Amino acid sequence: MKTEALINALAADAMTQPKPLARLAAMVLVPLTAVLTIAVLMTIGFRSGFQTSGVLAITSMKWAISVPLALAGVFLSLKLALPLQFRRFSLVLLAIPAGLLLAMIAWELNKLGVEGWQTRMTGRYGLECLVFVPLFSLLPLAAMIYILQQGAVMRPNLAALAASMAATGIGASVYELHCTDDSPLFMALWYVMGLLIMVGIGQALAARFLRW
Amino acid sequence: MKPAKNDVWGEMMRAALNGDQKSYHALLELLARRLRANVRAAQARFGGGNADVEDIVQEVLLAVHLKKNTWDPALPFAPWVNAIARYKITDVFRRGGNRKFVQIDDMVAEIAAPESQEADYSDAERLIGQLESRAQHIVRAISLNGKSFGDVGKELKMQEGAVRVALHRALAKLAQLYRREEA
Repeated sequence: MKTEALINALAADAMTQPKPLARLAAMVLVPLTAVLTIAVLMTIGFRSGFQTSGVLAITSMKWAISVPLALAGVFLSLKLALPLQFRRFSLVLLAIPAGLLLAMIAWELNKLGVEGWQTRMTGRYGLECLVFVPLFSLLPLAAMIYILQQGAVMRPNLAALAASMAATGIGASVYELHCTDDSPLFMALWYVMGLLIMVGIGQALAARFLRW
Repeated sequence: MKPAKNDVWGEMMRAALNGDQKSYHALLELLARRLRANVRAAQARFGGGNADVEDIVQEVLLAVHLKKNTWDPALPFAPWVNAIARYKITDVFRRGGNRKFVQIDDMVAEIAAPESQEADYSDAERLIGQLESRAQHIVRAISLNGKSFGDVGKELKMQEGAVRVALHRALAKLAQLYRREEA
């Protein structure tokens, strides 16, 4: 085919326009999060006494880390999906969830003392957390990769990193409905290990799915 | 590509996004001309001597077309198209990009056939051959024969809208086949 002929075909197809990425992301991620929430409810179940204000407050503190992680990950992913839109400076967004986690650790150590920190960090259901956080993050990661594919990613590894953060933010937020280990030290160990697993998976997928 | 003065390309692209096909056609021709020069320059620099310039130009045009939703119409067009072109051209070169070879068997077959038409061995032609037959028909009818969506729809007993969707899918598939060929 001559270039001239290809141009004819492209011009004929001028009007076909995909949705803006941010809208696509909202349309995919919001229902997915709802479905995952229901999945938690139907399988492992919400933690007992979830509606009570005390438990809700503790869960909210955990969300205060995982939700900003999800939002920062989605935001960075969308920036990385659009040519010339990403600024290196926006990576500081990832410092927000990390900073909050560190602040909570400092607060807890101050309140409960350093004594027994290992026990709090190990928690009771560490391994369960290590399985379920990545498990609930898998579909969000697939969704993020799909969203990135509709853009024009020029840094596949960085985009996959942002996508993994977004996915783990969602997966962790959902799993926190069930998780009864409430120490930020526990999060720093098990949730972060779950995050690292997702980052690894994301990097493995980057070369295959984010080049175009 | 050098930024066009006063974002002329951007004006054309904005018109195109509002449905001005002629403007889009003209823009793509301008881009193709610039791209040819760019690709030759890149070949001189990186030594991708035997890659077919037209194939790379076509691959970049496909990318520009399929990714045009990632351009923000509030911004000038040239920096965006430069970024896309640079990404695509370096990508083709990095992957070794020189997949231009015609199998001897095919050549013999072509020579033996009493075909008066000028043979077209371009990648795009070969890749179109890998599309499913209806998609092939649509791409050829619209690109080579200049038929309208309505006419093609009648030929294939399809709704006009379905032909449009099928063309878009075929183009996306073509871009994918380009990549797979080179991988």
